[in-house]
Amino acid sequence: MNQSDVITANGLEMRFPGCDALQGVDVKVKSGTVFALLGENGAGKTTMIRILTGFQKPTAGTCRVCGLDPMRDALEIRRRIGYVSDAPALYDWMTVSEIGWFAASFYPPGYVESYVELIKGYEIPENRKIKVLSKGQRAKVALSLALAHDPELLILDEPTSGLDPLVRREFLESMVDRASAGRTVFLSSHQISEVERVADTVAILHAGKFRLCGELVDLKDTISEVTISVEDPLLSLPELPAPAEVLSEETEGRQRRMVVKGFTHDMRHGLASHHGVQGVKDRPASLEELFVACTRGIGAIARPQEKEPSQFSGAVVERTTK
Amino acid sequence: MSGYIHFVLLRKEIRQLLPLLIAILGLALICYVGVVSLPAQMRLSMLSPGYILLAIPSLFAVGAGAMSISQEKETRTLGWLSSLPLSSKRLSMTKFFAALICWGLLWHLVVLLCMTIEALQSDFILFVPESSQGHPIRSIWLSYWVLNSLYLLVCGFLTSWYFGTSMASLVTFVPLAVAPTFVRTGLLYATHPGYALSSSQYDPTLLQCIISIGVLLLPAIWLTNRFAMRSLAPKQDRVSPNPYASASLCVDTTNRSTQSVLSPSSAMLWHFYRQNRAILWCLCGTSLAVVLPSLLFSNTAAYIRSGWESIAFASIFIMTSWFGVLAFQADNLNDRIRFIAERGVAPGKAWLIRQLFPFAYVCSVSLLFALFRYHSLSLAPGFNPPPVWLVFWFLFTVLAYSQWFAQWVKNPILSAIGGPLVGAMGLGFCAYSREELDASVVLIALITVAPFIATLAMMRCWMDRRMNWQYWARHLAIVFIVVAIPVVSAIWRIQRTPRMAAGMKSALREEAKSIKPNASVYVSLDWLNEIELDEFGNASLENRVKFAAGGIAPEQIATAVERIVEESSSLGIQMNSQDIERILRDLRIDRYELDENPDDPEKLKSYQARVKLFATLARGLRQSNLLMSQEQADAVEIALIVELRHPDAQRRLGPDAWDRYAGIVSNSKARSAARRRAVLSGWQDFESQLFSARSSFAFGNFYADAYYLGFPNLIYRWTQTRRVEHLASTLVRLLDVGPTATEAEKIALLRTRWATSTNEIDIRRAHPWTRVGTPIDYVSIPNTLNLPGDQWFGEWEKVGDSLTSEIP
Repeated sequence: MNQSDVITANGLEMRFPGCDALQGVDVKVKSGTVFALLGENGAGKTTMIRILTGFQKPTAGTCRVCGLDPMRDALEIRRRIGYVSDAPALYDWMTVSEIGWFAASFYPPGYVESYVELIKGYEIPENRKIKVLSKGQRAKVALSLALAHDPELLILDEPTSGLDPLVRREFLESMVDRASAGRTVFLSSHQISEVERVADTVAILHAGKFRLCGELVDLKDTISEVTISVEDPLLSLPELPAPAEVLSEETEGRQRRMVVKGFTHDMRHGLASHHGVQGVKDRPASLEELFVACTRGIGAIARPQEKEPSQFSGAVVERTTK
Repeated sequence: MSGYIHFVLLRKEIRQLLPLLIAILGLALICYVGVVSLPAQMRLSMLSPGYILLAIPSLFAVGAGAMSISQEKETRTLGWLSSLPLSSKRLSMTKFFAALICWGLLWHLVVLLCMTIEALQSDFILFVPESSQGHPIRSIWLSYWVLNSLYLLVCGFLTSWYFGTSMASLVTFVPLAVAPTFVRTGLLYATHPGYALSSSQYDPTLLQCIISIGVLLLPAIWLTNRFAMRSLAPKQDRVSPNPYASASLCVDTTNRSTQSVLSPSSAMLWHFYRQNRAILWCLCGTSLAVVLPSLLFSNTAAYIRSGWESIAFASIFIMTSWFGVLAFQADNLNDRIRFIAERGVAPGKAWLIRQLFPFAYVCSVSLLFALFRYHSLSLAPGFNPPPVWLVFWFLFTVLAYSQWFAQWVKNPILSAIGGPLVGAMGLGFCAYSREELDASVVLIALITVAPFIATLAMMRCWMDRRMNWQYWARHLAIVFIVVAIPVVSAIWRIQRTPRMAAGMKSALREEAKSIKPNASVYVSLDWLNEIELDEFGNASLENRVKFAAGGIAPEQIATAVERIVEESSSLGIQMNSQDIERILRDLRIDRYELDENPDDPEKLKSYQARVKLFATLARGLRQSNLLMSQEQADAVEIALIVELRHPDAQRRLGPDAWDRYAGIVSNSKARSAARRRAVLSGWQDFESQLFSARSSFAFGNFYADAYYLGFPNLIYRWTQTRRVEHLASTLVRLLDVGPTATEAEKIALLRTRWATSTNEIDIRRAHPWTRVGTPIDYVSIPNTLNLPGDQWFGEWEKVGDSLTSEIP
């Protein structure tokens, strides 16, 4: 394990009766980064987080969090990290200040002060009981409880669910600040636009496997949506040479659409010069398109003429070759 | 459409009650089978198994309200139900009606089950007949049981509508449940001040019972309806434009964040107390509200002794069980224990904090009993509480098994209803292990503490909510271990008990076929009834010669015994050891007197008659197939040898008589054959009567340690078979090697003849301390507590043999 890796997982598998939640997941999360885990409902995100926090024993594989084994040193890991689950468990009968004061007993000194500061920042009345808080306020309390001891690793399962847009923006910015301060954030989310804004590394989990995992900057540069117009729908095209990797492919009439990783100019020219090919168009794919392509196939992505400009690329950069 | 909605709602309510119904049926049937499996004597003294069946509808009635209403309040689904297009009245009525349907079905099922069991097993006593009014199912008392359980059902709904949590509603239910008993006592006091209630429920106070329940049932129904309407009425905050307007009551003005932070343990203790504060005080309050008046009533006046102690004990039992349930249930709600798990709290610490309050309750109640016991508090002067250790163990066991059950079951109502049942099962199992399987105190301590070990071991999984199949499998494995501990220990003890080799057994069985069963004539002196005692409690010399049948002289007894012995089909005689002892004493007294007055013809005649009687008894006893008679014959022959070896014996008895008597004591071959016959007969008799009667634990009228046990337990019955087999085989071996073995070898063999109940060879008891070498004046007559074989092939036999060589 590299010194700078806060989380490492090798061949992580989790099998439940009638369901393989994880099927050989390998991951490394570097210190001082924001790692985003994307996936559909039931893709295995929460299972993976539960394994990393020692709440679930994997069927196979190994993992280490902050240099510790989650099954053996779960308690130490939980003391060192901050964790917000998808449905935070809070004591309804406690007040906002009470729950922070109670939680402070399990962490080093200074917890209460940080917690109060966070709560004040979120503008939650300290003397109100948890049971009367709104869903968003409960989420803020849960986040404050996880952040108050300034953990070296923050694991968040759907953290912004229930937060209003302003708080969500502030919260995400604070995540970036944390990463800049050398802390690590591991979050799972459905909010792709948010992830796109803050994440350094993105992994897309589908059916228990990582379909894609890499630096967001690299993905932006290397993933393209390629549309090939052919004269005959039955025409067979040559396979794309390495390092290109087709993530999703679909044929509709005389058009073939692919989401390709590592698509180059040479490949475009090579395809265009192929007998029977009328034209080749490619453009950088957005993270959302990438996510949809990896989970539902390229067919679920709106056709170029139906699409609005990509959010992360700012404008459609389309290259056409004939 | 409306009718369909009502039907769907009713079906949903019944489905909601089904887990409770199934759990109670299952647990009660397990309890029933457990009690039925007990030996008959234990079962009848403990509880009629039929009452467990009758308690099923009542137990359901206790939990139905909590299951139907409190659970919905806790999961906040009652609000959703209220939002349906149904009137509040219809909703509350549907809930009650669903419970009523299940309750009615259970009653039908229980009565049918009772009748079926009784019809199938005519010799089986389902209900102990405690009065002339008899059977609860077939008498008017059934109406009381049904009415009482209906009252419990209404009370359950009353407290559930009133309180927000299931535990609070169940705890406050207890005083309401026992209220009719207090009302009945009041009624009786008012109408019949001097009436003495028996502890039986079949006393003639049915009318008062029914009136007291009826009196309380009507206001309970009215209050239930009122609380239901209040709970289902739209709340002010629902229509408030400000969602926090209603939160003013949910504001704590204490600002905790300014207070100093507690240590993890203190914080956990604070958390447990604050979270369960209401229930903890309710439990303590209910204990005092029910237990103290019950103890007060138990003995303050003679006319109200009607099982008040039982009410006090039952209440303490239930409260202890609920303290155990509370250890895990409060944090099961919405899986909120995860909050503590996510903070990295060590499971051991969380477990310990959870057990502190229940343990403190157990200690407090034990202390209360200690005060009652050792300081005779004036509160209940006649109350005689059990020993403190017993109270502590009782409550500790109930607590242990209840808290274990609470960790298995996530549903708080199921664990609150099932907790006391499981506590009772745990208690019963410990008692059974001790009484029947003869488990040691260490093993009992182990199976008492095992539930705590189990919950501690499973704490991490419980906190992490890893309640998968492995979780249940581990719990089941621990249950299996707990059951296996006393069972394996018992099997191990049985296996360690020495027994007869299979080959030897079949050979002896074959040999025993030719031996007639013991049919010796019982000869009794019955001296105590007939003989007048002097002022010192001794029989006068003259009277000692009188025998049962109107003062028969020794000659006549000798003649009577001789007639028995001379018969061709004679199987000898058997006698009480005390009778032989007394005849022997009289013989000695006659000899001493003859020594003093050698020329007194009367004394000589009496002496001759007694020696003749003794010789006749020796013959008669030796003919018997009873092992005890053989042993008595040994003692009689030893005494006879003493007389024959007296310097004046030949002169006093006459040469013919002396020769005849010497012939009796020197016939070693006949003696060995008689002993072998008696061993085989005794063993055969033991084998054929095993388990049928207490006497079957005796081998040839030797009771060994069965005498000390009162009612022999299961393990004793199993080991006794082997021990008696071992004893029989050792005696047969002694008979085989006896004529040639040295005295040391014979003693060594005799020492190994008996294994005690602890399966150690009982050297103290098996050692033939009284083994006679040269015949002496004193010889002990064997009794039922001895072991057979003490005098076999002793040196005295050689002395007896040598007498014949002295005959000229």
